[in-house]
Amino acid sequence: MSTDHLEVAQPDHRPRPRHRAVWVLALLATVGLLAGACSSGSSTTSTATTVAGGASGSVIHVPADHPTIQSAVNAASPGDLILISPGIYHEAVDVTTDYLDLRGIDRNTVILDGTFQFENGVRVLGAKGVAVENMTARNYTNNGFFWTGVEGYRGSYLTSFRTGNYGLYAFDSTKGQFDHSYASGSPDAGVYIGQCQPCDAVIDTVTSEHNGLGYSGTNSGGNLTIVNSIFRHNRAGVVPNSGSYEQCYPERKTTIVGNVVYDNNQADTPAIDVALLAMGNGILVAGGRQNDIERNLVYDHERTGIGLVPFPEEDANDKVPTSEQMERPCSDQKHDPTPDPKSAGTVIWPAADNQVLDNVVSGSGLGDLAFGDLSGEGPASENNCFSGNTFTTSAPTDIETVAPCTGTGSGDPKAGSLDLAALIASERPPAGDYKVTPEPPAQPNMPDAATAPARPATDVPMAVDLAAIAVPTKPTDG
Amino acid sequence: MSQRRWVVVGVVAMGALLLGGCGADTTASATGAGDVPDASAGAQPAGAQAGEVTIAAVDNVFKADTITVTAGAKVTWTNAGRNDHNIKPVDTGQFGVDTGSFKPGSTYTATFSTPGTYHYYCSIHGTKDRGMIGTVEVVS
Repeated sequence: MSTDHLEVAQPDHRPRPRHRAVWVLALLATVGLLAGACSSGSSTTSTATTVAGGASGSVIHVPADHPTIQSAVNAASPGDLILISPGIYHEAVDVTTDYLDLRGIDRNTVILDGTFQFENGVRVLGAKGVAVENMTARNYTNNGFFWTGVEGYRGSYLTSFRTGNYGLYAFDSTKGQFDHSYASGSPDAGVYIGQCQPCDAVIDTVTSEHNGLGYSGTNSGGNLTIVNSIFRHNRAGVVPNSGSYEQCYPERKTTIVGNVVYDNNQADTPAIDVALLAMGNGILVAGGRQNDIERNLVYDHERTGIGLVPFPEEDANDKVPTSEQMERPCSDQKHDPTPDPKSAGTVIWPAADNQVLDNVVSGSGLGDLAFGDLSGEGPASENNCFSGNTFTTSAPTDIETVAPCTGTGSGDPKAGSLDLAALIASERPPAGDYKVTPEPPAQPNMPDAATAPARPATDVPMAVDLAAIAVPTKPTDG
Repeated sequence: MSQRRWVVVGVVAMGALLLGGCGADTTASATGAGDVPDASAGAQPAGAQAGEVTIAAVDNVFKADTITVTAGAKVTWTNAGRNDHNIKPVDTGQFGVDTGSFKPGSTYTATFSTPGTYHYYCSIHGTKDRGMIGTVEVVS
């Protein structure tokens, strides 16, 4: 069964009480207040924030009630569940209605296919609390699933592959969550969260492979947690980064715990220039600050396992802000005066104030743990620290002695320091074509997708008990 | 050359490599929104910019997203982001540039000769009224 991408205006014959949307909104607001009053704390650093309460709207079936997903979305009211039957839908779906839940009945057979003509599979623009669940997007020229300018979002049990930019993409959005999802075949990043501070977001149980970058986060952070996920076979694995090509710089305060990051040296993936440059690194903080990288299992990288490096931005739009300036939330920074485009020359974003704790890292060509700087004064000069890690090689050589997370460092920070020139100078295989990325195997379905009630993204992000997360074991296929 | 110098050179080279695909060679140029500027426009209204005005298309906003210019102003958009963008007028046929001619590093210029309100958007990152949108207000 295939549906056409053209919207077909269909009368909605379902009984719909007048002013139903008003009632649903009132219910949302009321339950939201109750939920907010009843939220309880736990031993987490990732706090669930209620945007509004749960919803109980109508169920709109596609194609039974509406022939296309877009026509169903257009007819929906806040709180509705759009339940999509198996089929290939040649659509680019835009969502501008708050608190919808778009759900496929079967993740592997509900397929949005852009045929390399449409830009985004599902794009949520400024609509609060929209959840997208249990479906696949493939063959889009830009993104698989894209939220922009929203408060409250969730992508669960999603599969995205062969997309020209990102797979799962949240931009200028807060209070969100990606979980149980898969992304491959994006030249930039399989999973991307950018321009938010604080983001208040969680990435949990995600697999990202065969991308330029497994995860990229430009100018994001602040209660942003990446846990229990797998990043493998990308050019580079997890790459928080800074740059003035987006607002709210720099990247800071991302927490990366309990992930498996391995073999990110993949030579045949699609890749933007940054991904080519970052190739061969597991977790690479490129000009980021105040990040916590703890209890990850990282192995088999041609360059570094966990690296902290400066990021040079040529023809930057603005200079690095002062410490005071960068403490402001993104909502304030967005109103800063507009600098002249590309007027700031080459700007170096330092990696500073990061801590790397209790990771297990092995098999890295230039260093399991590494820090690079322009001054040669070592990681402690930028207040970075390394402690409790299991590793064999590092740059500088005695990195945990030079820059411990407790006490005062000692030793020579220049001994065995990271050769940045070597890190960047060697040849990289050219970018592959995202359009030929292999189709992934079938992915696990959301439980009870056909019967579970609507669940808009009103309870995001999920609470994460970071203290309970141990270093993961090696996967059987890794 | 010292090791440090090599590192600096290497890092700068890395920056060049990063942005090598974003050069200005693909500059687009176009004229839209009317004919020759109205020479009888008179004094510039308060807050309105005359002459040449620039807008940065960063990822994923136009900055500034709203500008006021006098008739005859040349408005130049620079794709100062890392992503592809385009400029689509809300009312078709006035001005605009497609994604392929507005890659990162590229510029696009339109001359606004006729007073009016010109709304536009990037179709990749917005719709006519949401997301990456902008407005050029042209006054006489």
